[in-house]
Amino acid sequence: MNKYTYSLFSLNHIEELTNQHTPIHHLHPIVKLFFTLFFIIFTLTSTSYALFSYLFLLCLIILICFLAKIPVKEMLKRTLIGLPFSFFLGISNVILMPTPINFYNIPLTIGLLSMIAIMVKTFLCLAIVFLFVATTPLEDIAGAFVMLHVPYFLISIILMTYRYIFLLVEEAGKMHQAYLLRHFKKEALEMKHMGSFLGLLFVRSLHHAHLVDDAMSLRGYDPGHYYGVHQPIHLDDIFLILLMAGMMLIMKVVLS
Amino acid sequence: MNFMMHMADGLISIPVGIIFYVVIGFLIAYAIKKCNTANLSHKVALMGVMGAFVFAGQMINFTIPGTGSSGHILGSIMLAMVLGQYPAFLSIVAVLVIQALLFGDGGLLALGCNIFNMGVLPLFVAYPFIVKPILNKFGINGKTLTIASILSCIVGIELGALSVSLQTLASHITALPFTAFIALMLPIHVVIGLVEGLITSAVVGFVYKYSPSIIEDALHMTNTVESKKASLIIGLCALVVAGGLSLFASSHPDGLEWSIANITGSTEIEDKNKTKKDIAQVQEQTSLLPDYSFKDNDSPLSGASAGVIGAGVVLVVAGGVGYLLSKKHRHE
Repeated sequence: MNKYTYSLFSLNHIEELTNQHTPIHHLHPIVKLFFTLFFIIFTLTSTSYALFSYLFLLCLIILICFLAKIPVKEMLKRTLIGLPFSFFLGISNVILMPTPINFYNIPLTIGLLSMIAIMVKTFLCLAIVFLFVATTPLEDIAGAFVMLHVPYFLISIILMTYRYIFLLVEEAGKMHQAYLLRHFKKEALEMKHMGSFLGLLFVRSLHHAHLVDDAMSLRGYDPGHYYGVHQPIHLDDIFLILLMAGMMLIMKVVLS
Repeated sequence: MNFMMHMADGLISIPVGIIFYVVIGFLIAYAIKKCNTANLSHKVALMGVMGAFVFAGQMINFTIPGTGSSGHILGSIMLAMVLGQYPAFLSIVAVLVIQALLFGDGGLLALGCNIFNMGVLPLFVAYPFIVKPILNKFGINGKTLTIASILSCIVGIELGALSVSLQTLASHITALPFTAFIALMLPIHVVIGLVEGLITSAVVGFVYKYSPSIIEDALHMTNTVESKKASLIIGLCALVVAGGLSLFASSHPDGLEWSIANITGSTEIEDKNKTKKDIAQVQEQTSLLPDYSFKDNDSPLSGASAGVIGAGVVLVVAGGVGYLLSKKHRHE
């Protein structure tokens, strides 16, 4: 499978995950968004020594995966790709902070503990964002942004970009495949062809954009008007999220 | 190759993340207002599709000759040269939001920082101060498009890489010294910027040959930077940096002091020359904010206040000199 097909498959797969019916999927998007941000802030305010906090957060992630019927393997695949830069940054701490410490009877250095903490925090933040996106369709996320008074002009652009990614990635894939078929034994574009390749893709995209724009204008599209349906927030949504947030705060107080 | 610029949440602190969210919030509101003023509100589809184009373009890896590695474009400057500054900024915001949400490419809290590094710096610094002056002064042709593309891409990407370093260091995540961090980040991003500049010039050149009006319309879409509003925005940014980010400044000695300390055991060199000692004494007595804080007060708030006061004094002095010079020029 080439990378274009793989990207489209990944995007489609996320859309399939959002179409499930579980208690987590039925929570209001804005409540999930606030919980995600709260989780990220909670994670980032934990110190390098907060082992039990990290274990608790990891258990929470796995619990959400279980309740939302999201495969843990899928979650790990999406989050581990974000770790390399954290690793390289953490390596510098290992070198520059060699003071040894005894961490729960495990001989470590401050630098090594710091590196592990950076990577764990990165993983937890990526995991919670993936779970948010895998349980909330993008249209509902857009609705949550509208409720937060983010200008609908920007939200329209985000939604339009998302919709046309499928079309243009497929177009780019076809053009790339045609290029490779004409240039025997090549695996990637040569730099000297990049300009005309991208230029042609741009011109095709622009032509398509004008067609879409004209079609939408003819149908009376108003970029300032929200065409979605505002979902009401239910008390049980708020109760569940407050319960999870409360548990996290209690764990932080107890474990600190 | 550009993965280093998509910062994850674990690499920044909460105050840094929030500060940059506030900054880009203002800039997004400003860009939306400019698009409405330029009657571009009906071009949502155009901006969305162009954002998707950048996304698709970022997937196309090209081999970099002589290195054995490959890279992909960022696309900010390219988009600005074909769409205009403010529509390009909104498109890049859309791309980065989708990358953060759907691909885990950059964190949610770090989204403000990523938009600042990859959107604001190329489009609000490199584009108006490099691309627009070159194209307005020397006209639009193959040479000017090439020079403008390469210079703006290098400057934009370098500023982004520098900003990543500053944000990570301000968050106190790494023990890596600032000089070592930028020594790792900046040189590689010069190469990335050069390659991106070459590709941008090739693409924009192709588009210019296809339809010159696309490039001309994008260039003349908005007026040149309005000085009053630009001053206000820059002033606000100075206030945030001097009064806000300074609270998280490192207390470690800077590169020069660190080097001196390694050699002499102290961060300052004691001078035995009498004249120099007298001058130093005068400076000590006359300085209002010694060592960037109030006298006998080393608290972070004192440092922040000193930063704000200092920025204000620079504004008054530089603004005053500029006003006098412009008055003299008008008189002549």
